[in-house]
Amino acid sequence: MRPQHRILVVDDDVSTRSLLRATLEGYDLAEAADAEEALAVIEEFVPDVVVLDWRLPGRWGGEIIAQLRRDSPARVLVLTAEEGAHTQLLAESLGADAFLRKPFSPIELVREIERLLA
Amino acid sequence: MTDPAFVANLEHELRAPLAVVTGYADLLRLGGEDAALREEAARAIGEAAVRLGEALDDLLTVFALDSDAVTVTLEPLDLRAAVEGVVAAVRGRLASNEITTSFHEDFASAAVLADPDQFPRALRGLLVNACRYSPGGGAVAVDISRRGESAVISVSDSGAGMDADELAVAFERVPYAGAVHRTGLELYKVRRLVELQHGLLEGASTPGRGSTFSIVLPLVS
Repeated sequence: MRPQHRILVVDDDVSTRSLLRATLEGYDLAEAADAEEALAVIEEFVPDVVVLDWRLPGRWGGEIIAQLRRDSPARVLVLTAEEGAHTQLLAESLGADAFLRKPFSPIELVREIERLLA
Repeated sequence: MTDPAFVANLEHELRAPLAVVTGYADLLRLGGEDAALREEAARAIGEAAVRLGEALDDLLTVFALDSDAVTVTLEPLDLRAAVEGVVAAVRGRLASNEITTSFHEDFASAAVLADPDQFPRALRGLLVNACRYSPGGGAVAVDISRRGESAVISVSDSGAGMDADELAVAFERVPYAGAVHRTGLELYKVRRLVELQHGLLEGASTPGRGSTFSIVLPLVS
């Protein structure tokens, strides 16, 4: 049994959140559908890892990473359907700790999260 | 057609639902005996497949529109029957959203001047967009009213809404405002289809409360 690390999933797509919920069963999980909700949940939930969609209604992932880096020790895994190299470079330059592109393998996602938690 | 922002937008439209299909397929391979997982996977894969189909249709329609390959034949179209037909078709495929229809007057024998293929396609685009941006199967309302000699067919969602900057570019081919992105080609497609029928596409939105997009078409007296 995994230790109860706290994972926050931020994605505006209901089906993607549902997939992530199924993939990350066993972790202490919270969800947010947009940036404002995410920032509010982060304050209360204090996640160890944030799995962050790059495109969100009203804001882009980079803004959230920048704010997280100021306010939270959480590790950030960017999960995106965007073109790979440029977005990855930008996300990492802003402070993302890991980057996965959609479609992703659930095993790969869990492996990356475990690496961030180690 | 090779505009990088357009390609990035398109890539997002295809990869996001594809991730749901492949992700659930992997999970089923790993532990498919769980009945709840199988049921959720079937629902999510079905919904993602519909989204992929919609994205493909949007792409092909936009390519056709951009090459002036879409033609329209304007003729009197029974307003009530046309609207109800589109709503019934979308309700059947995207059943998780509650879609209500309100005719603000009888419109029993009213007709709009429109193309019998492209008007339903445009209205369907608005409904698909509204369902997509109404999270958790949220309410979508279709209102049909009269404005002078025109019919106004409005579709309202219960989603996150848009601010003025986003709304200003929502009908563009690559709808981005600064760093804020809204994905999808639906609204661009709908605007072009409506304009081909000499109509207007209007939008109103309040952040946090949802958006309303309206097709305005002339009524046939």
